[in-house]
Amino acid sequence: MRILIVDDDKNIVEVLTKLLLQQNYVVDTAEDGEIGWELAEGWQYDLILLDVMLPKLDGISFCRRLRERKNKALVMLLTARDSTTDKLIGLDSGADDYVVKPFNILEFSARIRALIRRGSTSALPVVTCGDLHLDTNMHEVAYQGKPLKCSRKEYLLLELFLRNQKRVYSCQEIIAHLWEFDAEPPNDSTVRSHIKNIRRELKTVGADGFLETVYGQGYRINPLFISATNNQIVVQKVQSSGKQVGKQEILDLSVREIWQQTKGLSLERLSVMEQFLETIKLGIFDENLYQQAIHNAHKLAGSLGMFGFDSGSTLARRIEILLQVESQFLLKSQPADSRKFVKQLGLLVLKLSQVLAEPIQVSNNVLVPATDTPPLVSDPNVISAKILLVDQDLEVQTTIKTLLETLGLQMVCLQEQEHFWGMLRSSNPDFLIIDISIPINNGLALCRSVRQNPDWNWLPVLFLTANDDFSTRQQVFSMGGDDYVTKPIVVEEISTRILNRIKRIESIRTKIEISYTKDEFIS
Amino acid sequence: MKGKRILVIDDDEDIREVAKLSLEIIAGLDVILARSSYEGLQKALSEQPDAILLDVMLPDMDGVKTFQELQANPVTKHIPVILLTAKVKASDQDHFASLGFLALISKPFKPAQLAQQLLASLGWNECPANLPKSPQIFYN
Repeated sequence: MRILIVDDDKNIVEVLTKLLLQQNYVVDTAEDGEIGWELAEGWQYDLILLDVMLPKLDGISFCRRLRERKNKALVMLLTARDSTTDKLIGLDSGADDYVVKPFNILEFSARIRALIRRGSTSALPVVTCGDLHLDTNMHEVAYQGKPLKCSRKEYLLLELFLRNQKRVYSCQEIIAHLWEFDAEPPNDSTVRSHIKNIRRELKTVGADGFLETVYGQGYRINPLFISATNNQIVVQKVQSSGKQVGKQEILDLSVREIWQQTKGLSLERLSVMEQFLETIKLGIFDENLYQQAIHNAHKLAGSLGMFGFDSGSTLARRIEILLQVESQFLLKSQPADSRKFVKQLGLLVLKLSQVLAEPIQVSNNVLVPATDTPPLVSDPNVISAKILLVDQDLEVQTTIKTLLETLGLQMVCLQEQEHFWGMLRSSNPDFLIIDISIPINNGLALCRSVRQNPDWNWLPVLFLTANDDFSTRQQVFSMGGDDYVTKPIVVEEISTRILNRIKRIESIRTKIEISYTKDEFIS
Repeated sequence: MKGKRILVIDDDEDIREVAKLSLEIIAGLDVILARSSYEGLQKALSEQPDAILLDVMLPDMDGVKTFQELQANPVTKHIPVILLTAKVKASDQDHFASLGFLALISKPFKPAQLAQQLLASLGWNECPANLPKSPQIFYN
């Protein structure tokens, strides 16, 4: 796991680096936004810790730019400010979480673990390949229960292979993943020597041949050791979401993923039109920009409908026609009419930008097959997910239920934990919200039992708590909670946090479904 | 259509990727991608696909000229070509028929429809004898 810290406060950087290195992460640091950006572009990070108030490029813009460039690294914002608005700006910019400075170091590292676990299904605390288990909490590796002795780098190397079980890594790729940016880069023979040590250790515990050499390419896990049970677990998880995985659904989900990846392209096209509009407002006619605006309108007209933005395609087509038919004539001959043209164009461009600003609409009509079967997601504003809420306070229950149902989420509520497991199995939720102070055992104990249950330990858990003190926060994360919200509940905050999390789950699910079902359908 | 390979030539990344997914997931085709006319012509020669889906507006050479290049080469002459275009008028039908395109699919297309329309135009979803003689036009 590679982490980038971007913060101009040297003390914070030093403390965080030390802490993260102790926990076996690979850490790079940058003291301003621009240096951070260069690193983020050059390396693949699992997590970026971003200060909001950064010199040269602030954290919010940094994060927005990352998302526009399809960078999928998890982002945690470090902010000194603590108002709800700031938090919302942060999360809307595409950040996954934030911590408010000054923060407690134990809480901070627990949050990072929770975030990384949430961000990737491969980031589970225990990674397994056949009989080989790697426990990231204990930093231990064992084969059939027999522990392996390895150095920090060798442990990291094994973790890299275990998290990417079918991938071949060359020595240079291993160096890029496991050595800090400012450290003296080792040569290939150093990597080969680590591999040799690992192989010797593996042989000692009976896993001879676990890491194999792919001639001319590098190293990988010997496919004979990749047990079929690994795949079965993931497929079971997908099926337990209660959704029928059909070709069209896979396509629908995949197209949504592509929209997320290529949205920046459409926004760039829109910005060319906006630029053209701005110049003609100033009475300047730039022939080159004019041609570019037509070209980009044409491209948008041809692509947006593909993602369900039918109105976007229509608007782009109208812009294209308006530009082709009227602009030169109007601009050159009749200034009065040119104002009308500017107004018309301005309105169309504005409407188009509004259409593109609605991310959820991506799922609308992505699939309208020729056979006229109904679209999979009929309402563009609905994210499909089911939430189980456990809270004894009926008033709070009603508030949250009403709020989340208006966002299109399905709610199942319980006042106490007596029927919890039965309800969990029958409702099969995608997300769990627990009040920390529910009767009998408290919510923390309930969360711990969910984490210990192999069928449900993947389920995201958000706590509701009346206290925002350090010990509560620490307990939340140590019991396996992913996040918490304090009462009284701020409507915008809880909805933004839940929706962000659900979107990420959806995106992870998409990836799993594609990777484990594609072969079946293609063949 | 297991084993059939299709070459998609389009300079737009989003369209290329969605077309690839649609053709792979819905139609079960193997997809080869090219982002320019030049790359497309190279891959048509080296990969010998079973069909080509060709965008009209390409940065280096437009779709019609690219098609003529394919037709002029005996190695690629036999490969059926389906044109992908944002501009389709009814009057275009005769024009494209005279050029020799197998079919036309208009943009924007719905992802699942692309695969269905492509299979229909190639006759890959029914008896090959029913293959239409004149080019089909799919308005989306």
